[in-house]
Amino acid sequence: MNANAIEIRGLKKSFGHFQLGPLDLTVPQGAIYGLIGPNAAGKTTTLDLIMGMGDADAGSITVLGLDHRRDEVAMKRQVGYASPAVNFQAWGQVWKVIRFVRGFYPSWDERYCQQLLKTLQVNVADATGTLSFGTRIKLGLILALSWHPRVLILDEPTAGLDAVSKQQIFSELLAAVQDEERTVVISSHGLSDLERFADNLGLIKNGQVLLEGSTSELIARFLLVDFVAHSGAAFTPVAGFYVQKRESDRWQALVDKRKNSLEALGALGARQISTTPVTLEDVFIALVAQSNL
Amino acid sequence: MKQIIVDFLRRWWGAYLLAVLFVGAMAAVMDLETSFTFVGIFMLPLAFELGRTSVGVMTTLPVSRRTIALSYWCLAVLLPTLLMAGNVALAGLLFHFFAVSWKGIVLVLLGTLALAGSAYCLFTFVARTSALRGGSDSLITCFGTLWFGSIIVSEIFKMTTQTPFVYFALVMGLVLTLWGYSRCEGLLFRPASRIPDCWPVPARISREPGLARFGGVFFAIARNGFLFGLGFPAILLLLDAQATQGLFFWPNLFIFSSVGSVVFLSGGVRLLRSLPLSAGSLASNLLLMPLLSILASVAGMATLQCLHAGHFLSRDSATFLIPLTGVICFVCSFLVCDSGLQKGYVVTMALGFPAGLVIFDTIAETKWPAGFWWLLGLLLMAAAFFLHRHWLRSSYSYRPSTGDFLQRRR
Repeated sequence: MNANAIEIRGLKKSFGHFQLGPLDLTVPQGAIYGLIGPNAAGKTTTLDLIMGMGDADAGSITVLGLDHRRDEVAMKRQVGYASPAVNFQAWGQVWKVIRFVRGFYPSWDERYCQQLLKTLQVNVADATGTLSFGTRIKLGLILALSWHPRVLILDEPTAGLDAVSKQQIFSELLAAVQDEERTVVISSHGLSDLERFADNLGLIKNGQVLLEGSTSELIARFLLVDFVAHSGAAFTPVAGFYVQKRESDRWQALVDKRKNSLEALGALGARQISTTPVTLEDVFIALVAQSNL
Repeated sequence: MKQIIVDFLRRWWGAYLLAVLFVGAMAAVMDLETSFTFVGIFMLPLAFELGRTSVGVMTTLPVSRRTIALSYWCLAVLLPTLLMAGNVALAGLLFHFFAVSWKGIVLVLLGTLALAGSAYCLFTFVARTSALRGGSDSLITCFGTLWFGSIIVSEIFKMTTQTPFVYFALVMGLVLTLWGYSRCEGLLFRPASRIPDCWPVPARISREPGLARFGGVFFAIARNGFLFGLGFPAILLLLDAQATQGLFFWPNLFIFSSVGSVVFLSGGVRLLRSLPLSAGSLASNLLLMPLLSILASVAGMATLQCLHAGHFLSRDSATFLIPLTGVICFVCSFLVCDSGLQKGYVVTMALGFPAGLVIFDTIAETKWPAGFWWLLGLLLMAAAFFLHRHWLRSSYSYRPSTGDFLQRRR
């Protein structure tokens, strides 16, 4: 049995001047996988391609051992999808959307759906055209969760949600993963949420994967270093050394421990070195801001 | 107000130019009254503008809501009136050797004003979706109202030019125009007391399986096609206008009912693609919708024809119907090519009417064997299926702006 829920190999897609890939991503089964990256990095395109919304130029996508193109229907019977771009207006009212979508899934759990509607405070009588942005996202999540898919693909699921709703959604996702070993892929700009909830992360920029691995390992790999150096020019070209800010001879930088070490900094003339644990946001900003990556 | 109108015209002048040329050509080759059928074309740019949610930008400007609404009233009612009357006058000057019927122009002027004003007034009540959010509801409601209205006005003019009914309709239209002017803000800004946030709904969603289970056909949408298809002949029946209908009328009828059947769905393609349906299966369903709506239209028309002429599907009718159905299925397959409904809709409507007319004219003028036309119709339907499938798989259907955005970014 395949241990990975999603395997993307050599995926390529061109949009005018933008090129996604070649992209390799591996999402382990039972994990919450956070796909992060700056705007227009290729996150939504990647998720769209998994769901068959667009044709890849090259590469393969396998979901639960099924080819996403050849076994499209079988794959979609096991993959739930939610995105703010999904439009429910054609159905008129919330309960009509639910009635329509439910027909496609024999495993639809009516009780769970009702529970989610209540928890996330979505009124089935509401007109879909009048739903707020946040409520639309909640409805998409309810539709995706209510039939217990084995893989959940969520594109910006917490955009526009208040803090309480975010908490509720992540609680539901955690419960889903723990109870049934479901896999969740989340594309999001909510880095603090992902740092808390995601088991694995993939960082994409300009259509390329910069980093991929378990969240704890990725964060432990970096250190925020403050030091004093009289000639800072020597530091900038060093691999694994990302300058955050400089005030006179005081420096703050992110150090990738795999590529560089504090001893190496000392050898380059750094003094009074102090370290601070990093957050995912520190890592993200440092890596994304590097234009040469 | 001036800035809003000028900005609008600056962006849409090409569409107006095309409309002027098209309606001018129609007015030149046909009788004056028939040109009413095309009045809706002049109001299409505004319908698209509402669909593009530009009102959201307008509201952030230091301009009163009333001013924005009045600007749109001018564009929706006054501009088409002036263009229609000017067009008819120009066509008379250029093509009918200066034989301009001034009475006709006044009639066109008043008729268009009444028609556009009534449609606008009606739209201020029926627009369920705020123009701030746009969406297909606004677009199709505006367009549908205009098209139905324009065709009905055209019929009224044709059948009873001198009867009191015409004068009554005209007076009513002008009253509605004034009323629409007084409540023009309703087009853009939802009056909270009139638009319900919800409708009666059962306490629990029934446990019966969704309609989608029946072969995967999205009946809820197909039903819209039937309503359009059946509603149209019903209105004609009420007006007793069927006796004057030639085959020329059919493209209007079919394209409208077919597009109406699919357009509601276009915004929901992303959701449909996430369901366990293959692109081919979904393409088949999308192809079925215009077919079902045409079937409904044909059923309605057949009833009328049987009642009056005693027959319907003669060899000639079938020769016309099958390729026309093929053309309409083909153009409808462009509807899903842009989830924002901004390009697919334009392509469909811009192709649909002329293509239908060309097919009609070619069949009428040439004596090619019926088998050729039937085969052409079936081939077009097959092509529509593959085109649907292509758009359902294409990235462009889901992220149409990606290329432009990235180009700007670079």
